[in-house]
Amino acid sequence: MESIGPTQLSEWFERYAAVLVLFARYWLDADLAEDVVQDIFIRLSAQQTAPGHIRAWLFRAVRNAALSQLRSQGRRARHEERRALRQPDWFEIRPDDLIDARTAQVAMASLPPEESEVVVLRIWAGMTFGEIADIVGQSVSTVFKRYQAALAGIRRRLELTCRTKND
Amino acid sequence: MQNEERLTPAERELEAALGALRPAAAGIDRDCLMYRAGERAGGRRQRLWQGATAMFAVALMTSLLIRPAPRYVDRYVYVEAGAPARVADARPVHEPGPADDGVQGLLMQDATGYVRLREAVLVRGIDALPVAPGGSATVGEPLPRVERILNAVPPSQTPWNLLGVERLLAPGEHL
Repeated sequence: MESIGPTQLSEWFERYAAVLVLFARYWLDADLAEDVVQDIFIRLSAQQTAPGHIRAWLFRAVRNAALSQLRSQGRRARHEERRALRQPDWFEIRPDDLIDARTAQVAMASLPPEESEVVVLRIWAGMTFGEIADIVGQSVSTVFKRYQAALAGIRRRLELTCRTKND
Repeated sequence: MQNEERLTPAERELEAALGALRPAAAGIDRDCLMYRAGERAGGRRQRLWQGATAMFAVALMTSLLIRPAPRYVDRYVYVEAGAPARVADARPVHEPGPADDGVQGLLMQDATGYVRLREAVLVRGIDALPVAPGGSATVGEPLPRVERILNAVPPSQTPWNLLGVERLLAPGEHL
């Protein structure tokens, strides 16, 4: 265990902040998601020693804070395509992307929360299914099934978009 | 790991395509975050010091309030009557040898001897000074120290002669 210095905090911020905001955005608006992530980093800096697994700690803390925020506001985030389109971009828009970033955002927003969080943790946080299972509090097989279901849902959405564009 | 191997090629392809998307940069001001983090860490340290100071203040007040009354203890010290003083028990300050005229030995003593002599003089007075052999005017009564010194120095080496004062005088003039 080592104490947390400004250099280390800055390094973690650079590495994880964007993915953490993406993770929190599924439950919260962009501004609230950023507030939650910022609070988590400030809480981290106040700790005497660094957590053993910083990545897992950060995502678990953001997840808990986002859900707590939802409960305190007494409302659930509605995962509508319109809402997702109104929000600021979840991804950077680059011409060489294999998937259109906006379409991927809409597809992600159409997923149930328990599937979407698994996708973010797996693809952009780079976690194993075991690590994801620890964070979401489910078994590894459940997490894997959710991940497969999420990929199938995204694929359907992408194919639908392609067909609509071609028509 | 086994679960990862269970993914179909199509799922892997979609996974790779999604992974190529880069999350949009967070709109969090990094400098602001670092400042607030430092502020919070500083506040924690400040509270630590404040807590420690308050704790010590309470401990000090408690110890002052419940301080036990001073105890007087009667202790008897028996002193043997006529016992020689400690300094006098020390070994002789200076024992003039056959070729020692006393004063020269006094002047040539090493630092330890000087300290011992000084202590003896403080305790016993001037009588503690060693007596120059044959230098006393009256038997048993040592001369005052200055006179003894002057008597011990040969006439040709009076202090003013040693200092070269005579050179300032006119020829035939004496002090």
